[in-house]
Amino acid sequence: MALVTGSAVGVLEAGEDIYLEGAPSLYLQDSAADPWFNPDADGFYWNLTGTSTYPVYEVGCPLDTTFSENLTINDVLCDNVGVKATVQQRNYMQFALTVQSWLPLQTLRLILKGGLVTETPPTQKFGFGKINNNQFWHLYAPKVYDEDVGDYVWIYFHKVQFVDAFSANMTFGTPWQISNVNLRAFVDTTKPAAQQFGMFGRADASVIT
Amino acid sequence: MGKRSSTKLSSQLEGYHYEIHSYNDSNEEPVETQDAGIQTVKIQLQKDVKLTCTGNVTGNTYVFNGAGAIVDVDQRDVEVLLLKGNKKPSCCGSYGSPYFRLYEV
Repeated sequence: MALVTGSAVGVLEAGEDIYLEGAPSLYLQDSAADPWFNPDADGFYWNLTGTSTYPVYEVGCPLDTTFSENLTINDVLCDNVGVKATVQQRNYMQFALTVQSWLPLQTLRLILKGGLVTETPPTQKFGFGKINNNQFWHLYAPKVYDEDVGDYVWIYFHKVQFVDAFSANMTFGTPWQISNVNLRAFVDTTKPAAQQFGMFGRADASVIT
Repeated sequence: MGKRSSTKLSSQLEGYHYEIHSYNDSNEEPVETQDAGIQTVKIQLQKDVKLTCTGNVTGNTYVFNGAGAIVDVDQRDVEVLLLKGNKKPSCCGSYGSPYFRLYEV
């Protein structure tokens, strides 16, 4: 509701009456592959195009998805006046979620930090061994907010890794769940400084004209 | 029985291997036999697995060492291999890719 009085004057960027709901889809691809837009006409790197050598993986049925960042924060403290400013450094950004889709094993082994799947029909197998700390992924997370016309937003990260210890819940009467799944986005120094972690985008032909 | 001599020619062309046997016997008509050529097709694995599979027609064993691996497959086995893929719909609306694709240089 507009203010009766006391509103700001001049050029105003008003908030839109559009609300985003639900988790985005999550797609991963080996970071050795180039993103689809590498870069696009605006100089942004984003989206994925799967190849035979570097397929795209879909993280199925996410639950309780959160998006956050981790910062190093230090106050500029002057003993005579107090805190005058705060210096912030972005350490990483992170998607945290619970996954309920355990199959196929090609995707599960990424989430559980397992080894390469070996398949001899009718069986597939992978092992739990030493974690490969040199494996990174591109992460593309689109969310359609208008199904009628396909308007959507997306988040893209250049270099993510599954970090922290997962926990699998196998409760009677409920689907198996892998909780504490953390996709941590690190800085990619090969990318422009303004998007070294990744980017956020929106496609909406009716608003962005 | 006449003297029997035989000549065997073998040749290997790209993707083909065949042998020709000919017999020259005064009491026999010349006979030539030719084994069926084996034509292979390159197919590429699109799944991130180390896959060992068996050809439905020939029974040959093919080993693919991970995503992107390219193997020469007997042409008779190709049709069935190209159909190999996820048979169930995905959870989230996407469509998984088949296991293999034809590889063209």
